[in-house]
Amino acid sequence: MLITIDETLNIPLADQIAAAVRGAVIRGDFAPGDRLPPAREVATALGVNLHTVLRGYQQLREEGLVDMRRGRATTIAASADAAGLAITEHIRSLVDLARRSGLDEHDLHTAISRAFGTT
Amino acid sequence: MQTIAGEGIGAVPQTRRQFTRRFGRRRAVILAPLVIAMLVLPALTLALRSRLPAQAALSADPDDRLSWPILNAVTAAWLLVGTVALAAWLHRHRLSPVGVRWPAPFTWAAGAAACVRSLSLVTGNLDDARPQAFHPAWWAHPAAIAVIAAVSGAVGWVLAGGDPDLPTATVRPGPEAPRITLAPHQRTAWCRSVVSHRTFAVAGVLAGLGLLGVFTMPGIAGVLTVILAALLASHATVTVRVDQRGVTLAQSIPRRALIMVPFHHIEHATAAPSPAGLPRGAYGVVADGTVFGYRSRASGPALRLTLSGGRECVFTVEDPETAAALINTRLDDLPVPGSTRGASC
Repeated sequence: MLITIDETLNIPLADQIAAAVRGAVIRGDFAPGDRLPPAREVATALGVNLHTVLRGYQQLREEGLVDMRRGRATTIAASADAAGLAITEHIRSLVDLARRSGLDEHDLHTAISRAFGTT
Repeated sequence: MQTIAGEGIGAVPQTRRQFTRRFGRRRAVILAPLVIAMLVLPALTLALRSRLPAQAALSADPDDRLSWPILNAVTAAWLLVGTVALAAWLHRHRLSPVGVRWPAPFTWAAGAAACVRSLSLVTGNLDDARPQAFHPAWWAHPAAIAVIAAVSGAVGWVLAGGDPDLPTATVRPGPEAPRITLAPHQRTAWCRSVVSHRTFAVAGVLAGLGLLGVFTMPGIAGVLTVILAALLASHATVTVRVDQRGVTLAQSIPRRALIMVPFHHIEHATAAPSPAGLPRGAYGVVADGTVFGYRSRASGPALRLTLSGGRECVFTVEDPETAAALINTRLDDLPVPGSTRGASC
């Protein structure tokens, strides 16, 4: 799993680490049941605090993407849906782009409906 | 298993000679205690033959006795078999960066224990025409022998010496090698957990046998088997990591690096479709000649590092393409001694 973080971005490092795992699942690098690297190894590799990595993993657990149990390896959840995750990630990017372009939620809904051909 | 940090042979002839010299000395250090132990009993019996009885009492049991020639032959035969087998193994692994130092403490411990036992047998039977039983001196009791063996093992480890320095790789990845784009200000790493189910299975079987031995057999063989099983199990789950320092294979419990290859020893990295070159049928940390690494499964993708000195490091791991690309990208940033960038790959 390739993890890239950029401290100059205005995004918490934990979020960036969580995004890297999401990206790996979307690309198919990880399948349900696969082990994530131990948080301590990721922290060592990136030169960040262990708790930063654990916060990232915790986010993924709250999203239902990974299973974390005390004393056991963190694994990709059986319910992890790569396609759904990809759509969610694209929607996130789309919302960011819409905000930067001055569009509000209604404008975006209209644009999506137009793309579906429902308006 | 010791940590591998830049061990192996050099690419240039002088370094190879240095390594051969070092290895020759190390081989002598490893084998010497066994050869000495082989000679001690015959030498003592020959020197003191006028003061020894016809048969040697071997234990507290009065019937447990052997003639000195047979005792000498049996002792020498066992030690000779061990010495020859170890010498053959050392020769096979003469270019391996793994496992050429760790036999030293074991041979020194075993040699010391054998010498103490021989000395104890001779002194215990000395000037006793009809010994009823053999009672070892205090320094030949199991606890004392264990201490002597431990100290001797430590001496052997020190005498075997550290590993020679490796030359810095003078070849860099060619233009066709995979790479990734890294933006400034970014910190990038690649991590992947690897589980060897076969190593777990073997550890489980050993643990079972060990526990059976603990409850059914006298001695410490069962306990040692359980300890071996635990050591094996600790190698079954590892993480391969590519970061700023190089490529690391680390075990989780206890947390330590099993293999560490710094970037300046890597010529280039590739993703291979199979772990060709690693010894077949061996799992966990393995080595064969100039190839070493970690095998978790029989086949499947592998990360292959071509190192200085003609060595290769191979890890069976998923997504080796990304790891290889990151390594090659990092290598591009290193200074090139002799400036042969892209000369070969």
